[in-house]
Amino acid sequence: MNSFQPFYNRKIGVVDLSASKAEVIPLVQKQVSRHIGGAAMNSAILEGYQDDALVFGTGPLTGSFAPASSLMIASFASLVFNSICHVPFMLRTGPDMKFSGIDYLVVKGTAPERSILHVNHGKIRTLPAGNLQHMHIPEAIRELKKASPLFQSVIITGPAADRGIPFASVSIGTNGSLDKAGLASLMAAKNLKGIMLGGTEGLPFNRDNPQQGKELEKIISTDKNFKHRGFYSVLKKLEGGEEAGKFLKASGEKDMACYHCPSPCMTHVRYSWHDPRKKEMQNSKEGLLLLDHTGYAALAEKVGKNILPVLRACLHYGLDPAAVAEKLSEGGTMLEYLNAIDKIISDNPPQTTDVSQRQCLFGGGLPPILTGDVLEKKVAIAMILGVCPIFLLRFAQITDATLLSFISTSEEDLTTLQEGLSSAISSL
Amino acid sequence: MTEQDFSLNLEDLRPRPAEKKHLSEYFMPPRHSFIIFHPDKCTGCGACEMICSTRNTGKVAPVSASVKVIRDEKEGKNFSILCQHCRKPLCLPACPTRAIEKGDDGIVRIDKLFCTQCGICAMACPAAAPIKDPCSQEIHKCDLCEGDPLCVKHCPENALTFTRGKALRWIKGLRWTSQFISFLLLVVVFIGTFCYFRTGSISFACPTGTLQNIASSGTIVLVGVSSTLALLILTVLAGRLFCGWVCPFGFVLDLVDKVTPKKIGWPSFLKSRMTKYGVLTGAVGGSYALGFQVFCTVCPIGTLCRSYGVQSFFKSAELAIVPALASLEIAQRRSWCRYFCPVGAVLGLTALLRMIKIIIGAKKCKKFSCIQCAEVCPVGIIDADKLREGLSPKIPMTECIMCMRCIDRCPYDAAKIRFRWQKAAPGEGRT
Amino acid sequence: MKNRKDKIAEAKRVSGADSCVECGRCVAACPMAEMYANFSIEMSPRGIIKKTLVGDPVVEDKHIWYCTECNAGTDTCPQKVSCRDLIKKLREAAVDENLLENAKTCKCCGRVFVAIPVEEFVFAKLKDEPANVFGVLDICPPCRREIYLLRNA
Repeated sequence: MNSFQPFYNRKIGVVDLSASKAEVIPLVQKQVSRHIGGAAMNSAILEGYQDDALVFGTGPLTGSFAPASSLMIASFASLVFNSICHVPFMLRTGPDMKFSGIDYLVVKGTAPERSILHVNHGKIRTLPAGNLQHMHIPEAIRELKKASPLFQSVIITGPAADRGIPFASVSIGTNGSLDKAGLASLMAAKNLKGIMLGGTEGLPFNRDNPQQGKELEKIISTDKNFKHRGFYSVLKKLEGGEEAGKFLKASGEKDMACYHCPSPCMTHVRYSWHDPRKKEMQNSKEGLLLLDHTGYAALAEKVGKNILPVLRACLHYGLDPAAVAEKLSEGGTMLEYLNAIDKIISDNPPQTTDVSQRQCLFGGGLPPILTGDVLEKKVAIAMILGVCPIFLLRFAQITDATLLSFISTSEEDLTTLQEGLSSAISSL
Repeated sequence: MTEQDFSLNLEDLRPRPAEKKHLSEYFMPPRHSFIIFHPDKCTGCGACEMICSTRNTGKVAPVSASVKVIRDEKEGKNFSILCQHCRKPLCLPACPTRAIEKGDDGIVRIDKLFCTQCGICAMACPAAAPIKDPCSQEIHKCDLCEGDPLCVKHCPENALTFTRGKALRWIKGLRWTSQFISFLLLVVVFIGTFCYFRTGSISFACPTGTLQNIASSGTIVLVGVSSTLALLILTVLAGRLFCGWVCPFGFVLDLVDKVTPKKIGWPSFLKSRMTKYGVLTGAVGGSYALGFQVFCTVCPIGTLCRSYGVQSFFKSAELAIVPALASLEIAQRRSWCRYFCPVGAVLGLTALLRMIKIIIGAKKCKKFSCIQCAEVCPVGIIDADKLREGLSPKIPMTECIMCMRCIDRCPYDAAKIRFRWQKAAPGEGRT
Repeated sequence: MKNRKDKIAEAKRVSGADSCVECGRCVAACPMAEMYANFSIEMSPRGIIKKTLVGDPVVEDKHIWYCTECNAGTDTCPQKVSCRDLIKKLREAAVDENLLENAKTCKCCGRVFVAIPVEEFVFAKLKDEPANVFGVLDICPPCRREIYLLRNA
């Protein structure tokens, strides 16, 4: 019978921004066996609400001892791609939502004034965010930390979204994200500045999971891909990635991993640069966490060696680097690029964006390191179960059966879950 | 009967056990296992927090762990803060209900029965290692999982290791042997070797003696000077190795130190390292003024070297010099060497040209939770205050007698010898 | 910005102070008895609750700054009155009105993180340690952890 144990609070939060009301409805086992979770469950939930609703969801494995179980998926009707998009968010957003007491968050309506949501202890509050309007993202986060209660992570939009630019991108903290489907502009249209996740609760877990996780790590560590980790290892598999990777030779590099990930695909680089718009001649030292492989490659193609400061400018404004790259031309100086980006923000926003150049699987900028059907299937499995799709693409040993064994308690469960999974995949 | 007779205070309810010292602690303190964190390997995945929280709360709740992962966005560095199980924990005396105790296995534990969750232990800890659970308000502190830490097993990068460390502990054997043999040769076998140079026999001229000789007699015996140079060149290459490994009076002082473990201390106005340079100036100036080698007559090293059989007018009185000056050891370890010895003064000046240095690497040193190097240094030049603050001190090599007790004792591989021009040990940060 | 009366009303509501029956169990469990030689009813949890309920000027009272905000009082209270929450709210009200003589702010982030009588207790207990250890104690625990990272990573 349905005795499997997903890592869920079994709660769905529903926020009506227009009425400033929030409620929490239960997530029943029947829903879980039908849709499993993640992007498939998001789609099922979205059907019950109007077109402009957003759903932020996690999977049955998110936050658990499964490797790279860091995923949160935002599902919404994208104006950029004119279809339902599912954007993955890694780092610690998925687990922090779980530890804030809810598994899925539905946002509908439009808030009367600029607001930010705070989720903790299974409750959702709306806080005013008017003072954060037009602030650079790092500044806005600092302001939030000073004024507001405890939060572990934050999903926030930047000045680009405030200006209504359609290719604005949501940022996880100060690090950008894989959002290429215009989630930020949709949030801005709802007067939603961001979501703060308190993350102070806990969830019961399956006793076998830690051991299972370690055994999986052992298996992965024998894979030849295991030694190649960090941002560059994924970057070089993209078109033009090797070229772009040359500019990564900054003064310091450190591989950073998302929640419970044994093989990092992000790198923190430190570099020193001189802002040509400022009068002081001193070089300033900066740090940047690189997590968007396709965006970096697209931008590096145009700006070459100026990539790190230009990327930093995009992230501060909350712009999608790939879309910005389309607006820039090759062979310019750093000053020209920085001015061009400033102009994008200050000019009147364009009404549409041309997306013919881009391929975004399900709407999020996942690096296409495999091809064709296998790519789609693996990403779908990841997005439904709530583990990082990039991790699944890099290590072929991880099958859906191995992942489902984290939540199933018997063979019967496994078959039920696998059936559920295949139907969920086809629904995407 | 008054109310006073019936009142109980903490001293009655939870008396502190008397500090008992095992016999073994007089020679070497026991080495317990501890968790070492390697920041270079940490990717900030948070697996340690996850697994630790399952032990604390029975659920997965990273904020309720006894270990906290700090991520610095600008520098791109990660750190897992957990209790270091300090040798002299500061949380122990600070706890108002005496709930914290250090067990015989070296683990510092909070007894949940007495803990009121006030958080004063976190206030007293230099690293703020006890963590207040924002949900249940409990205080969680690492207890090494009673000897089998989970975080060590679950870290995918092996950034946490559970080890007893690798203290060398063989340098002391070499050093005592060297001191013993030097004593034998200089004092018993080759009498008067280390004092003045005599042609045709094995001898080294003491540098202070040579200076006094030149001052008093006005002539420079080149051959004598060049034999002094041998010792000075040794000092340039290896610091004041003579003081720690060769000097026979140093050997006597170390022996006296072993039988007088309790020190009574000096008044602070006497504690100036500059005094020995004053003694040196006095010795040389006095020799110039009076025409004979003033200090050599009362030098304890010389007394030792000459006491067997060399004709000396002050022979019986001389024999009293050594015990008298050795008794200074009761005040502070090697106080003669720190404050008064003119030979040490000359070698200290020579050490300004040194080629090597001893460093305490900032990354590996465990600072306030260990402080063994500062405790074991006989000349007291490792700044324990800096260590308690959480910084690694710089060792003044003009005062260091190169006994290498710090290097011998350090379990974290932090105290090392490096060439002077080397910025720091590889993989080190700033001090 | 709420005024003081509203803040005190909210403090009473959040802590459930109105249910206090003055049994004194909180005083028996309170660690302040061990910490302060001058421990009196003025600073005891029962005393502070009483003063709040009768309407004394508690926000200006220096005796609200002796509490360590542990939870022993709440744990033993038969009515589940949270003395800690009451003290927290009263202290917040005092900080809002800039009554900071008994509050210690962190040298790094400027936030109030400990009450001065509590800090003096810690200093007194650590008096056998050399003075320099107190340099670290001027900083709040979160900032201390950040500094530990910068010095060790």
